[in-house]
Amino acid sequence: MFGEHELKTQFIKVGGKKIHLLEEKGGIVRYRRDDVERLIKANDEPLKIRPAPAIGYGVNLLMIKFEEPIAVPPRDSLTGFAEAPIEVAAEIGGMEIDRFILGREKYALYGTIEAGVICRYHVSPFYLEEPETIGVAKLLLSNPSNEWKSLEKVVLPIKNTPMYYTEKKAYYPLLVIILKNHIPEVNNTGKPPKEGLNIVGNQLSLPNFLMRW
Amino acid sequence: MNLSASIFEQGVLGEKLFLTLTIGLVIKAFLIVLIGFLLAKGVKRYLINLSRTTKYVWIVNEDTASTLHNLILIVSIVYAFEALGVLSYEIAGTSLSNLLTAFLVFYFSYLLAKKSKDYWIMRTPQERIPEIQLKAKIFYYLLVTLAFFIALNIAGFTGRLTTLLAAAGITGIVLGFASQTVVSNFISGIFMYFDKPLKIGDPVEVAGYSGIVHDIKILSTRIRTWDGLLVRIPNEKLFNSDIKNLQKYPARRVDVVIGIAYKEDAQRVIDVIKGVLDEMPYVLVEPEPAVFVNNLGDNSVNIAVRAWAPSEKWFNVRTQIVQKIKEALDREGIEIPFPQRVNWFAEELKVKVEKG
Repeated sequence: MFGEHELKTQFIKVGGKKIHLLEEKGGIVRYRRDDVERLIKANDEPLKIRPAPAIGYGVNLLMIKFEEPIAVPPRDSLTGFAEAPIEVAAEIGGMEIDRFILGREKYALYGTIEAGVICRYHVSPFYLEEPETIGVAKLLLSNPSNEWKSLEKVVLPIKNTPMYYTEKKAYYPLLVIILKNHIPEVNNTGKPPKEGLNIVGNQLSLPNFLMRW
Repeated sequence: MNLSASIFEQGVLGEKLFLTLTIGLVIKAFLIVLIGFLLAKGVKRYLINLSRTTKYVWIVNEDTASTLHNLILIVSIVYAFEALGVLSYEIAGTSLSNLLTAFLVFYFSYLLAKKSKDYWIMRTPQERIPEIQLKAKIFYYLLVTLAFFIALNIAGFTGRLTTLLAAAGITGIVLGFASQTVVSNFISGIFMYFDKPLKIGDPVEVAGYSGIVHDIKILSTRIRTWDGLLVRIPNEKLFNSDIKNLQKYPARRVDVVIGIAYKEDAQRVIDVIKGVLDEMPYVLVEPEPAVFVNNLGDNSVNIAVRAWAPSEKWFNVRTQIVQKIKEALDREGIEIPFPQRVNWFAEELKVKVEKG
């Protein structure tokens, strides 16, 4: 699934999608996915199928809404997981030849109608164990304050975020959510959520995001 | 000046070659061109080197280097001709060479400003174009205005111009009245810049026209209508008009009314429509779409659908939503009725049947 694939006749399954590579005359390989077709002049360069952040039509933020709000005690923390939407990029020699969305594509307005931002939207349970879904986000909820805090959604910047993957799953970087004041602060650390993962992009953290709304 | 004149007119250098032309003057002219040439080459080389490292490539580039190179070269040629006495004529109290230099400085500055503006816009990513287009224009007008005053100074008109303007006070007032529309448009343009009711690329409805803002100039704003026509609206008119900016906010609502037959279960229809909206990616989850019985019409029960979409996707959602709801209602066998009327007759209706 995710990883490098030789340019020869084969099927590659990614989530619910199927990519078909078909060798033709003259060293040409036909790339086919749903209605998308590309012709590739084959050389030694492999086809890379890797996860990409779910920016959809070009949004910068991802909102993961929990099925149930989570309450965190004072001076305590909680580590868990959420399902997260991902996209898949097919690249050859550093050039993106195809990009598609896995699963359901929905958007929401984060903030007010006058000053809000459109973001990708996904509803997920809060898991204590890593879920079996293809896209996963690991969350560390930290409440350093002296009060109980509740969290019903996480909004995080995803544009230019690094992504991590194994052959079968894609991971967003470790997300640290600090519930210190009345505005939760989301830190996309850029770090891998666990060991042994491959990276797409550079391991850089993104600026902290304040969830004002 | 006197010193240089004396050096180039002493001894052998003062010998006449042709009419008033002396060897000294020819050497002087040659030296001016040589210095101009070397200076031009030096400036060009320096700017080209600088363009490789600077982030202000839009102004420091090969075009700018060539323009300045040509300007210095031509100005030095003009002064060389002046040294030879060819351009030592006076027009309006100033020398012909000064006039020519002033014109050249203005012309080349205009070229430089225009090219830099275009280059700046060309290099800008699509999403930042409206902002940069405005900055580039301000830069362009500033440079051209500055060049105009520098050119006046070179031509030696600065002192006289003030006197001229003072003397032409009455003419100014007359011109002021005559050009009040132009001035009014200009001032409105400035107010519009600070008010920012619209920017280039915004879809708007203004002064009875609907389309995309194509350009905002000093005196007028150009709108490209949806059917591809150019409409020029004077800034004054625009400033005093009601402006409807269709994409100012991130989300916009799609309002649709669907009429269903009285015999249908309204709640089932609402559920079907909500299902359709849920399947459409660009129908926003938040704010939540609203589907409700709006009123009981003459021929149908009217269901209002109010769904929010990202502003840039509004038109796509608007066009798809009605079609998808129609398809879903057809699938579910829900009737969308034609207009119908129940006729009532005051007296019993009699029908005559002829047999035959």
